[in-house]
Amino acid sequence: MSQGQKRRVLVVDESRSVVMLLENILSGSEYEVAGHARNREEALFKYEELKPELVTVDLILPDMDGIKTIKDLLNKDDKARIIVMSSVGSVPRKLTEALEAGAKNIILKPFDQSKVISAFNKAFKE
Amino acid sequence: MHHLIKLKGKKYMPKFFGHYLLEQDLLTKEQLLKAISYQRSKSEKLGDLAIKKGFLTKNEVAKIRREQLRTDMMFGELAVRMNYLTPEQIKELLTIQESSHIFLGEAIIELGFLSKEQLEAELEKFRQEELTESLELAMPENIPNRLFLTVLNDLAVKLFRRVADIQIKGASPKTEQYYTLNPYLISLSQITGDINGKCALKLTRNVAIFLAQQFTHNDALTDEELIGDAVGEFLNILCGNTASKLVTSGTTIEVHSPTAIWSDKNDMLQFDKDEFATVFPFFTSEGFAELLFISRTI
Repeated sequence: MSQGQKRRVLVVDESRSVVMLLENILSGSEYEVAGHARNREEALFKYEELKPELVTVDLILPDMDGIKTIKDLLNKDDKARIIVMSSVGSVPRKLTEALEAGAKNIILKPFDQSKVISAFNKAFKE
Repeated sequence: MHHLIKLKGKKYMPKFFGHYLLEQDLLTKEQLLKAISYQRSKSEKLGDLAIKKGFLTKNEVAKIRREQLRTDMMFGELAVRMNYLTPEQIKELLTIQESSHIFLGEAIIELGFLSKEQLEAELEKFRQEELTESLELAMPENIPNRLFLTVLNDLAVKLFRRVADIQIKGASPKTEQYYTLNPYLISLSQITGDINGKCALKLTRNVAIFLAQQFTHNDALTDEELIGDAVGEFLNILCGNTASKLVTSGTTIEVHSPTAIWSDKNDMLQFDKDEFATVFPFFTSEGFAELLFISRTI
């Protein structure tokens, strides 16, 4: 990544307002939202198209659960940096499953700027 | 010899504490997974205990475990549903299991990831963060789904303040039958599992717009589709957080995607004839709102 260029984030979430929130809280940071996918199929397509540096995945998606999406993204690219965003409506076991599937970290909703940036930064340290 | 560390005599460890520690950067992901794995290794599985007690054979346990993979349900619940064990037998097995169980916090300490003092300090901070703030009204004793409604209501107050900086004054809950009027937007989410019904947020125009603007950090937001989306996501977070808190009391619920119902298309939301709504009126600085739980009469 060249100096001045922001790290691009693909947001996989059914809600557009979550994307809007992330766009606003990332403004001024070294990250930017590069794309939005509402389901697993779109996520795989957009990952291929955008090649983002980071992906956020909501565990509850309309067509397939988020854990399958995480696994499929990592099958596509085992270096993909994936962070789970969850309202924790999922069973806690699912959050652990997501980490075991290869997600780097978890951000619980509702989230704020400092938690998001901190989690994103951590994903690049490993 | 394994030595159980008692944390200030407390028997209860919130289930999301591990993820809280991860979020706070006090544990790495690898440490959390190692602690969970260590915790699991110390706890005898219900199926293995049932074999030891002579309640089940190995084949029966294998059958239940195969069904577990298919349904993602708990072993004990499935064993009762499949008529392999009685609730009394489950209770006996759980009591035995509890005596060997270690909490996640104890695993974290035993693995040396945090000291006992550090962990207890963080647990206290976590509990403070998780403390629900009750409205000044008392929840009626005989209200159906009392625990669920108490948690839902308390979290709504907390989230309105945290997410949208909206202060709420609540009033005593009331009951509605047949229908509820739609002032501008009703966001509706189905709840299934141990509790079945529909959660709804009923908002006047000003409250909906303000909530959406605050939620997305966009003061200029006026697009109705985005307003509906933001309110739906708020409801999703509210119900999701409620579901999480209920897990610790043994209640499991699934929250489904919300739907937006606009007053220009539906000026009222009709209930089925055997449904009723428990309604929590909220008075806010932006206007009036209601939180509803619609369920079937028992």
